[in-house]
Amino acid sequence: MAELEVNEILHAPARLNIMAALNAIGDEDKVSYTRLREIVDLTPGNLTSHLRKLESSGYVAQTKRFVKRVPVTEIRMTRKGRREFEAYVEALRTFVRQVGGSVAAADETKRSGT
Amino acid sequence: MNHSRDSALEELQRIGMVTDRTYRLVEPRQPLLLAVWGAVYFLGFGAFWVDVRFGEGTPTAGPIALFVCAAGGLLVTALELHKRLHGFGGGTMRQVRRAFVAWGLVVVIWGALVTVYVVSRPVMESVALGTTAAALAVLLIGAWYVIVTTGRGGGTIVGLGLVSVGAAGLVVPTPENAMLVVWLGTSAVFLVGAPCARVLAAREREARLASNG
Repeated sequence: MAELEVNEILHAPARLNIMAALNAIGDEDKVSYTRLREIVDLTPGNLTSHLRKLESSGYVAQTKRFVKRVPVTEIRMTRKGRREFEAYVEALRTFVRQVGGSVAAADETKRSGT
Repeated sequence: MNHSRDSALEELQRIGMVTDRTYRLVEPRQPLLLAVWGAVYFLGFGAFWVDVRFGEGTPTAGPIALFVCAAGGLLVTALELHKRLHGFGGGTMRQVRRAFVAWGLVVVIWGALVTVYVVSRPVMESVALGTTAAALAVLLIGAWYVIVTTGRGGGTIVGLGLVSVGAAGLVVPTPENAMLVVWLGTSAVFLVGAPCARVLAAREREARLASNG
């Protein structure tokens, strides 16, 4: 039976949402904290804590700069983050295909009574 | 801790939904922009053609109507781009800036070519000049479209359509007919392009959702 270990960093729904949103944005793009919050629909406290976790794992990078004297935090997915995310999605797809196949085979076996 | 089939499927579906939502929030609505520019050219060039067809030799209301419509089109485009792309930095914004710089360059090239045309023909009706300038503008905007939408099939087809209409407008002999070709051709390219872009966007969305369970 195929097995797939959970990626503890990406398994949390909020972090998976953040990574999926950043992955949908272009390779070289950065997005402001407020815009990312609008896209993933999280409270500021939630977004900050999940970003911190993702940053400490090297999946995202945060930079601060000033626009007209107002501090703006920009977030981008790192190469490592993109690589890990894409590998994770691919592993999920492969797992679903394999397990889907074996579940169907088991069901078929049960039905035929062998 | 291992995944069950259901938890893996649930994660794939979540990724698909968030990806879809992100695209819907950040991608400029191409069908809307094409429809707006279709209306701009239909009204603007339409007024221009009426001037050429029924005017007394010097186009007056036509160029003004075209200018007002184009200003409206630019405003809608700028608002749409701002709405979709605010808060973004990096690659996408660099592309948008490059596209605007290239558009400015197109205007400069257009001005230079029209000037050369005027200088090379000292005796010329202003109607013929207006028609030639309009056809040339459509040709150059088409070339700009082809360049800035490289790799995106729909945009390139719109660009090639405009290049063809502009070129046709330059070779049709009478100003009246040339303006008719430019007016109807340009409007048709954009107004047919808008629903086609909507269909393409819907297909891309379906493919995106299907790829994640």
